[in-house]
Amino acid sequence: MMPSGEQANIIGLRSREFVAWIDKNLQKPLKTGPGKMIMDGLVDKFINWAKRNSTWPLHLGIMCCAIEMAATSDPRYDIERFGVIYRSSPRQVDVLLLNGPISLKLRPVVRRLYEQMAEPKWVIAMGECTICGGPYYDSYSVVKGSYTFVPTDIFIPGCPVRPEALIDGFLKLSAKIKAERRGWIKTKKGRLVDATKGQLAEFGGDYTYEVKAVRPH
Amino acid sequence: MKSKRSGPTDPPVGHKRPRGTFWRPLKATMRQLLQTTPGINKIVPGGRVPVTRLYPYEKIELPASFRGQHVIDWYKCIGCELCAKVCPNECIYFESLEVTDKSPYLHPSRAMMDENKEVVRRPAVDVGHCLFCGNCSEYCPTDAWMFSQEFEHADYSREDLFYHAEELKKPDAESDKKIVLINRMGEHPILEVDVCIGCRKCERECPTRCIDMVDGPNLRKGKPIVIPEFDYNKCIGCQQCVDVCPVDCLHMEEVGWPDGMKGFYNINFEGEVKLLEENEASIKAVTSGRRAQ
Repeated sequence: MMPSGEQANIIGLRSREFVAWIDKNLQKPLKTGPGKMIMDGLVDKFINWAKRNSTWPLHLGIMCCAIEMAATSDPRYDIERFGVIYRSSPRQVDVLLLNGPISLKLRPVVRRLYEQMAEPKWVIAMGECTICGGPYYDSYSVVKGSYTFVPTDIFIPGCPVRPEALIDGFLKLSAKIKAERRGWIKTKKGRLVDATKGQLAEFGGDYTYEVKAVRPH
Repeated sequence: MKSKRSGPTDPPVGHKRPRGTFWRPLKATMRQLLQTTPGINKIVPGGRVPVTRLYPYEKIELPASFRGQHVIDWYKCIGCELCAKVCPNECIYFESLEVTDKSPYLHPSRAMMDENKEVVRRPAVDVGHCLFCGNCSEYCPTDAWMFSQEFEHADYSREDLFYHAEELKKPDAESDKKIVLINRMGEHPILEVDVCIGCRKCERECPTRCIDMVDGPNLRKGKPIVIPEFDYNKCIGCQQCVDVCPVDCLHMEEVGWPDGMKGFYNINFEGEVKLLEENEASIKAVTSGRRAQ
């Protein structure tokens, strides 16, 4: 029997805990019975189709690649053909589109934005500055890549990235979401990587996965 | 109170609506409708076409100077590592590849000394770190670096953005196999004779073999110490000799163009440096013979 919302304290849950709660109380009972066929064959496919055709990115401009991000939504390239609509609130988006060098001061903010996004969520690193620091790879204040602190799904090299290349990145993200059931996806070189989660390097020390809470609870 | 200059604000009594306020805007609206309707817009004068480029199916023609994927002509590359030195991001790495001594990439003029004779060095690029500034192709003394129009580099993992030397290789059929030698740095190595210990490292490392070891003025145990002598016609200013020198007896100095820049210099397969026009016949003879094998 499904516990009531008050009993489960849904409102106090974090997004990840909420998904776990859904898995435990809704997915599991439905998937272990006659409903398994319907859930697997129909509902999952429909949800997957809905997810991959509405990858809404966060309208967050960090540096010069943000100009190309704006150019991608203009009539010439028109990224809304693929269901990519820029939203200004992290609560409404699925994709965290990082476009610029992330300084040490910005890093907790980006991590916080990532935590504020509702599951399912993906991260796109756009431009070389986000991938590895770019020309500021020697700088004391620039983080050496977004994949050191948020799990990054798509890496788009370029300086700056062409609007077409950004569209290509979003199409590859759609392919990755489509391959979630399969569990793996081929990279450009033919290597198999995990399609269910992004890449996250664990360097330890200065670059930690968890960022300290900005404000005490 | 009104100023004298301002005109009458109220319309005069008995004013009628001007003619055409209904039909003229309607005509304009209908014209715009026809001009933008698919199919009809091609017939109507001033018809407009949609500006959206349907990207994955229809690609915009990029400018010829657009820098996308790096492409390296292995016939032309001499492994001087100049591109790695001028790269502002230091994203170019050199890979040593073992080849047989009959390999077409192993040009006699750029072959290393005895123990390195079956090794060629070719650049590999970390595309995820590249600035696409074009310094590597600009400074390349043999014009081996090219950029293709490929820009779809997006990938799922950081490791796959490291491109190995074989993955950046230009297809053999597309190469014209003409090597030019241009000193684009405008610098040459200068020797301090008293510091040199005669270790011959620079001679072994020089990619164009422009260094010849001769007896120097200084003596060690009664015998003269060998010192490098540079052939500045061959020198490309790649600084390999300066980098490997164990006692820092070499430094780079601005010298200027040899003989007023007559043309592009070229190394033929016998290792002689001549102008490109003089060498073309010998290159053709050798490359056609290799293809027949």
